[in-house]
Amino acid sequence: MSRQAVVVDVSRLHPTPDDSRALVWSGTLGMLVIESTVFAFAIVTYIYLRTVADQWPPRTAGLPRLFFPILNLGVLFVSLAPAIWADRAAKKQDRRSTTIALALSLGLGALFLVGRIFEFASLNCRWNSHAYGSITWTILGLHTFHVVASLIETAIILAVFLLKTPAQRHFLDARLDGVYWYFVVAAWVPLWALVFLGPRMFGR
Amino acid sequence: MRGARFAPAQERVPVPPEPDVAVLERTWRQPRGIVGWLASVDHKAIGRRYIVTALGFFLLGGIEAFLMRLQLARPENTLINPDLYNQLFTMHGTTMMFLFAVPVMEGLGIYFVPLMVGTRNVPFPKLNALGYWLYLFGGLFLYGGFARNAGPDAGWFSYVPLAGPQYSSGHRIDIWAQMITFTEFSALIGAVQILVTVFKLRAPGMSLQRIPLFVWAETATSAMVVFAMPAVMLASSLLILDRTTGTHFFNPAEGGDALLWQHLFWFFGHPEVYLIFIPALGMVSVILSTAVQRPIFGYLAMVLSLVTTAFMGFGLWVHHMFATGLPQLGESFFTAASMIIALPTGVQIFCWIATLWGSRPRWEPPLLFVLGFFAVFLIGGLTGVMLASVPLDLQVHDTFFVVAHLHYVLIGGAVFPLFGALHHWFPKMTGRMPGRTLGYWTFALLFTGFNLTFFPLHNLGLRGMPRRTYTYPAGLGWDRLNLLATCGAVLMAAAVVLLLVNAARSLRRGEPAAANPWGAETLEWSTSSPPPAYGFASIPVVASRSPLWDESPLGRVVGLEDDCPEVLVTHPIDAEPSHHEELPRASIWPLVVALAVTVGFIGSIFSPLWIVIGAAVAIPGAVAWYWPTHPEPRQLEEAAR
Repeated sequence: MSRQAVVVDVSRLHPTPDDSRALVWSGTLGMLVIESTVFAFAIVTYIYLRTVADQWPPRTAGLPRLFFPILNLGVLFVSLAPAIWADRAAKKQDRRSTTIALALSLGLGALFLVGRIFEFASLNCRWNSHAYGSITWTILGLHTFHVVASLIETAIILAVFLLKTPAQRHFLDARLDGVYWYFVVAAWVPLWALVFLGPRMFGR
Repeated sequence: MRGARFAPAQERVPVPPEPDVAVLERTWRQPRGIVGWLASVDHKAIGRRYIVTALGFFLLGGIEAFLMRLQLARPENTLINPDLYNQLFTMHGTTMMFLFAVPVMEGLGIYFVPLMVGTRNVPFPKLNALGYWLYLFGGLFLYGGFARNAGPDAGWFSYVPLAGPQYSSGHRIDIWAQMITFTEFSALIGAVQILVTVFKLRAPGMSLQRIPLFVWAETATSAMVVFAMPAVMLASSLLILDRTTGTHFFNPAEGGDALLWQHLFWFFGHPEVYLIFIPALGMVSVILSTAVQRPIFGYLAMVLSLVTTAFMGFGLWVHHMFATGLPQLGESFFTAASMIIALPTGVQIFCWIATLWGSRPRWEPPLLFVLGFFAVFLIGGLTGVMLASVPLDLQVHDTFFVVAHLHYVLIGGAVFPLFGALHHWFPKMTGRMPGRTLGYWTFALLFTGFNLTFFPLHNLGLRGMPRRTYTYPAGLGWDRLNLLATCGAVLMAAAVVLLLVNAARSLRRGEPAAANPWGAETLEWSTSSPPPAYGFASIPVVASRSPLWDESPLGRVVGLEDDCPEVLVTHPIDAEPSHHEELPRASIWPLVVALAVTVGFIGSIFSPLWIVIGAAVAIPGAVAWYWPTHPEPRQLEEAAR
C-alpha cells in the first residue's frame, strides 16, 4: 500500500540565526578543538622534555623573569573587555558599538603583541641553546601566531564595519571574532603557567 | 522550543509547488571557462578532484613499488642504486599514506556524505576548495623535489636522528616535513567539513539512528583526524625547526630526545591506519547491503564498533616502538590494547556474515572485492595480533614480516573495499555503468597478484630479510621468494591497468546509468546519475534507515529559496529543521590564497623571509575572499521592512 509523500514546508523558518546554531559557529568550534589539540601536544612535549632533563632549566639559562609576563597577562585580561563588548553589541546588531569595540580589541591586541617581545626576552635563554629554550620559545611562538591570526581577523571584520554596510552574517562574524579571542586568552593561561611558573614548580 | 519551531513546518501542503529546476541549476552551477573551473566550490567537483588526484598519486606510488620489486627480483641486482632506492621506499610510503589513502577516503566523503545525508553542498565550500588546492600543491611539491633528486630518503616516518640536521643535510627531509604540513591542513579542513555536514545538514527525519553506515564511518574518521593530525603537524614543525633554526627538540646532546619524535609521530601514525581503514569499513557495508538487498545486520553494533575502533586507535601507538626499550609495564599495556582492538572489528565481520547468511547475493564485481577484503584483511589482522606480542615483535622488527603485515592490512583493509566502492559508485559519479567483465578480471588479477606478492614476504621476514635494503647476497634462501613476489607485482600492475582501461572505456562507451541502477538503499541514489549541481531538486525527508527501500515514496522539503544557494540546517540529534542558510558562491580566492600559502611554506625551507612574502599575498587574498561583493537580497528586504 503506497502512501502519500510527506512534505515539510520550511519557508517560515528564519534565515541564518545569530547564535550557536549557525554553521560558521560549528566550524569555529571545530577549529578551536584542533588548535587546543595542538596546544595540548606542545604542553606534552614540554613535560616530556622536562622528564628526560637532569636540570630544568639548564645551567646555561636562568629562571624566566616574571615582571613583563605578569604585566602582559594583565593586558590580555583587560583585552577581554572589548571582546565581550563586541560580542554583546554584535548580538544586538548595534553597528556603532560593535565598530568601537572591535577597534578597541585591535588596539589592546596590538599592545599585547608589543608586550610579547618583552616576554620573549624574559625567557632568559635562546631557542638554540638547549631543548628547554627550544620548547619555551616554540610555545610562545605558537601562541603569538594565534594572536596575530586573531588580530588579522579582527582587522578585516573592522574594515567591513567601517567601509561597507555590515549584513547580519558580519555581525555573527564579529561575535565569533570575540569567541576566538576568548580562546586565545583561555589558552594562554595554562601555557603561561607552564612556561613561567613551571621551572619554579618542577625545576632543578 | 524546538518542537514549537518544528510544528508549523510539518503542516501538510495540499498541492506542494514543484521546484523550478532551471532556476536551481542557474543558482548552483559553477561558472564556465577555465577560471570558472578553478573557482568551483561544488562538493562534487572538489570531491572528484580529490579522488582523481589521489588515484594519480596511487599510480606514482605503485610505480615506485614496482621499481623496488624489480630491483629485489634477484640478488645483487644493480638496476637501482642505494640512494635512489632510499628515495623510492620513502616516496612510496609517503605517497601511499599521505597523498593517496587519506585523501581518497576523504575525497569520497566530500563527494558522497552530503549526497547521502541529503544536502546540496558542504557547509564551507570555499574552505573546501582551499583544502583541495593545498593537498594538490603539497603533493606536487614533494614530486618536484623528487624529480630534482631531492626526494626524501629517511623512510615515511622519518626517524630522527637519521632525519635530523646531523645525518640528513640538504633539503630532502625539509621537503618531506613541509609536505606533511600541506596535507594535514587539507585533511583537517576536510574533516571539519564532513563533521559539520553530518551534524548540521542532514535531511529532515534522518535522526542519528538513521545515518547510513558509510556516513558514520566518515564521521568517526573525521573525529580521529581532528585529534590525530595536530600531533604530526607539531612533530613535523619541530623537525623543521631543528633542521633550519637550530632548535634541539630531538638532539640528545642538548636536552632533546629522539624518542619524542617517535611518540609524536606514532600518536598520529597509528590512528592514521584507522583513518584509512574505517571509511573502508563503511564501504564494505554499502556494497554488502546493496549486493544482498537487505539492511546490514546489527546496525547499532556496527556503529558502536566503528566509534570504539576510532577511540581505541589512539591507545596503540607504542606498539610501533616495542624495540626501543620502553618500560615493560608500558609494553604490556600496549600489547593488551593492540589485541583488544581486534574485538570491534570482529564484531563487524560477524555482522557482515550474518547479513550474507542465507541471502542470494548479486555477484557484481563490488561484492567480489568485499569478499577479497574478508580474506586478505583477516590474514593481516591475525599477523597484527601476532605482532602485538613483544617477543615476536622484537624478532621480526624491521623485517619483511612487518612489510607483509602492513600491506595485508592496508591493501586488504582499504584498497580492496576502495576498488569495490569505485565500481559501486562509478555510475553515480559518471552517469555510465562500469564494465562487468573487466571488473571481474581486475579483481582476479589483484587478488592473485596481491597474495603472490605479499604472502612470501611473511616467510622472507621470518628468514631474517630486513626491510629497506636495496639488495641482498645470493644463497641466503631469499632468492626464489623474492622472484615470486616480483611476479605477483606484475599481476597487480596489470590489475590496476585493467581498472583504468575499464574506467576509460566505460566513461566513453558505458551503458547510461539510471538513478539507482543497483537498487541501493541510500539517498545518493535518489537523484539522477551524475547528480545535478544542486544535488536534489527537493531536499528529501526520510522516514527510515533505508529510505529508498520504503514502501512510501520519499518525502520532500518545500520552502527553500531556489534562486539563492541555500541549505537547510537541521538539529544535530533528531534532524528537525532549524533554519535556512545561504552558502558562498564560486570564488577564485581560495586558489590565490593556496598559492600564496604554498609560496610561504616552500620558501620557509630556504629563508624565513618567504613566510613574510607568502603572508603579504595571502592576507589580501583572505580579505578578497571574505569581502562582501554582492548585496544580499534577503538582508536588503529585511532592512526595507
